[in-house]
Amino acid sequence: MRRLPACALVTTIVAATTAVAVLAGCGSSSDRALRTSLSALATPPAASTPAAPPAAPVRCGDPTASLRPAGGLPPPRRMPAGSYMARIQKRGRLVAGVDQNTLLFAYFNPATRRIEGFEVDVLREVARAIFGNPDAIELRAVTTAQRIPEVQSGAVDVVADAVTVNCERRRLVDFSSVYFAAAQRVLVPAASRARGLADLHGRRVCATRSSTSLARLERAPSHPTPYAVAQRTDCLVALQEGRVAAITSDDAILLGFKAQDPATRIVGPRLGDEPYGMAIAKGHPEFVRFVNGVLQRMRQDGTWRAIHRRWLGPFAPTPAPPEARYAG
Amino acid sequence: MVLVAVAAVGAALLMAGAVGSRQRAANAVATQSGPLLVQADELYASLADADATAATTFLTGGQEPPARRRRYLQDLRSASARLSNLAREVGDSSDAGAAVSQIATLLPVYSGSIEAARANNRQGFPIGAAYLREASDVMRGRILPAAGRLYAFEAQKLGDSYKSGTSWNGIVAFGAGAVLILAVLIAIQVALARRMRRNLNIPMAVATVLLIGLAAWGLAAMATEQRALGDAQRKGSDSVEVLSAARILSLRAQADEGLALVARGGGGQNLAEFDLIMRRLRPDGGLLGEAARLAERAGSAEEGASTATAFASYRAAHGRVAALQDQGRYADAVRLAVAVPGSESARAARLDATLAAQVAAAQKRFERAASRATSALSGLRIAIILIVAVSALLALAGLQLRMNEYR
Repeated sequence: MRRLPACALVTTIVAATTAVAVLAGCGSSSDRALRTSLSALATPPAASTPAAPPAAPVRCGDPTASLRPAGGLPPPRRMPAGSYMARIQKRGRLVAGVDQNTLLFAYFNPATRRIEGFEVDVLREVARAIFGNPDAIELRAVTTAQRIPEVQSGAVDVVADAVTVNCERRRLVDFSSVYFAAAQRVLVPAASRARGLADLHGRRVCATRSSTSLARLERAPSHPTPYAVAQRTDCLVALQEGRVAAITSDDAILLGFKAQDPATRIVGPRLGDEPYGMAIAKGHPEFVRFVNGVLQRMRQDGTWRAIHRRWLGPFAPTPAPPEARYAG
Repeated sequence: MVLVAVAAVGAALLMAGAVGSRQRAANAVATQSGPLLVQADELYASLADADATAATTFLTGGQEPPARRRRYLQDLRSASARLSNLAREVGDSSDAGAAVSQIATLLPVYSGSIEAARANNRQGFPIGAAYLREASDVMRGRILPAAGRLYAFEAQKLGDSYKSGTSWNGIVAFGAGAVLILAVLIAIQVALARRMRRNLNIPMAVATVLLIGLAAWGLAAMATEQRALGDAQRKGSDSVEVLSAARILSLRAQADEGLALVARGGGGQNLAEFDLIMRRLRPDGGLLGEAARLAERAGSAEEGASTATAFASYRAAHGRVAALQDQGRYADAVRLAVAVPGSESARAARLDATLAAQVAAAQKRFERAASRATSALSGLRIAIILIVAVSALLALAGLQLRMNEYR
């Protein structure tokens, strides 16, 4: 009789514990799927390629002086063996770096679905000189920060992207003779009272990263606040959204902005000359001479004027083509 | 007598408390955390789809195709609806509330930039592409991360509900309560039997039987609920989580592809991210492989095969488009990407639809299992209180009988 309570208790406890063990063994939760899915969603974005470091200021005489063209141009499809043009000819097309957002100079036209503009037409003349066919060209979009590295690395043969020729850049790449003479100015909203950088002390002024305009802006005596963007057109967006009070860039580019936003005005004195040259990788002087030969022909036979009239005619009178200067 | 009363109260508290907490957890899974996770997931997917659709809409230039425009607007409507549902449930104070209000503030900014892109694009102005870039930066840099935080918050809450719904504590407490009162009753019966030389005290015996029945029912119910919650997780919400992550990643890859094509050579970073995402997703060893494994566990092994096929087909199409981009033939690349039948975007849509269908199937499995869990415990708490009370009264009555006889 004594054993009964103890037995009963023990039996009950054992039964309960067994039940616990059985139940706990099945259906416990795990957060493995949660962790897997969350770590996948947290995949970080791919690292961006770093921008080219700013070159130290140097002096070099006349930066616009390029290599003299060597007599006449070779006929199309008969490029001299061993030259860079022969390499291009073998490839079958000229690879050129351009912007695709600069209205009038190089922009993607959705109506025709092609990149078009003044610079595109100039490059097509180079392609015509090599192949006899201006369509033998591949246009690659480049950003202002990446255009020099892309020429240096050989990803493109030549860049025509409103690149101002100066001594700093001449240390990195070669340039053709000047194909367009622009000047740096300022764009403000039509309602603004500013008439130039002098009126913009402490205000934000936009310029493209790695451009000569940004460099001049940073040195401006009235100390505006520089606001740098990765691509040119981002400045116009910033102006339209009121994030900046003004944009400073080449008047050629500003004309394109004004064409997209009539409620703006180009103001101020010429802040600096911006001679445009085509950038070519170092080590191919025969290609530089070849391109200069094409440009010289364009100056003489009226092609340059025709291209200028086609694109900029509605906005500015067609000047004489910029003179070429040679040194060697 | 006092002992009986104390034991009864203690047992009732333990057992009812255990069942109550399990029931709350099961309810939370079925009616709160589960559905909120679904809302957060669909919000995230709508936003990612809007980003992908907007990025590819302007590829063909000029006026956007009406079907894409409709899809983009549908995405925004769906995102707004989910956002207001979530705002109602989540409140202001927590991290989740902050994420909800951040998304609510930024979504109009995003859509405003997209409309500016559209207006400028119609006029052929390059600034349209700049507005598109700006919109995409807002979406990817701020809105999607906030949606991700919200999703992580809800998924974590669901995980916590599972844990409390399947933890040892519930069963141990229940078992302890049952053991307590049964032990007391049996001890008293045995003591009475020894003293009074009558073995059977009918009321107390009935009480004991009732309590044993209650214990059995309770343990069986808790076992069912635990197994059902386990099913809900293993066959339901685990698949939902992994498949949703895969779907959102594939939408991000689509947006990357679109942006790279719009950039026409300036989109190296986007293409690098595309490749990175493909590696993360791949069916052998990546996220889709994990999803296939979960599908097999849930008894739908063919799901893994169909996603692997859709993924391979999408990847092959991208390879062809990327080859054209490398050669600089952007017009052809764009055509292959969006315009032809069997285009890359068609295959991307198929992959997306496959994943979405599988997410929906997994959600259904989750809902069925979760409702099994809640119904397993229904009525148990009241039953515990009633039966323990009745048993206690019976035990007291039995004692009283003996006492009276004794006198």
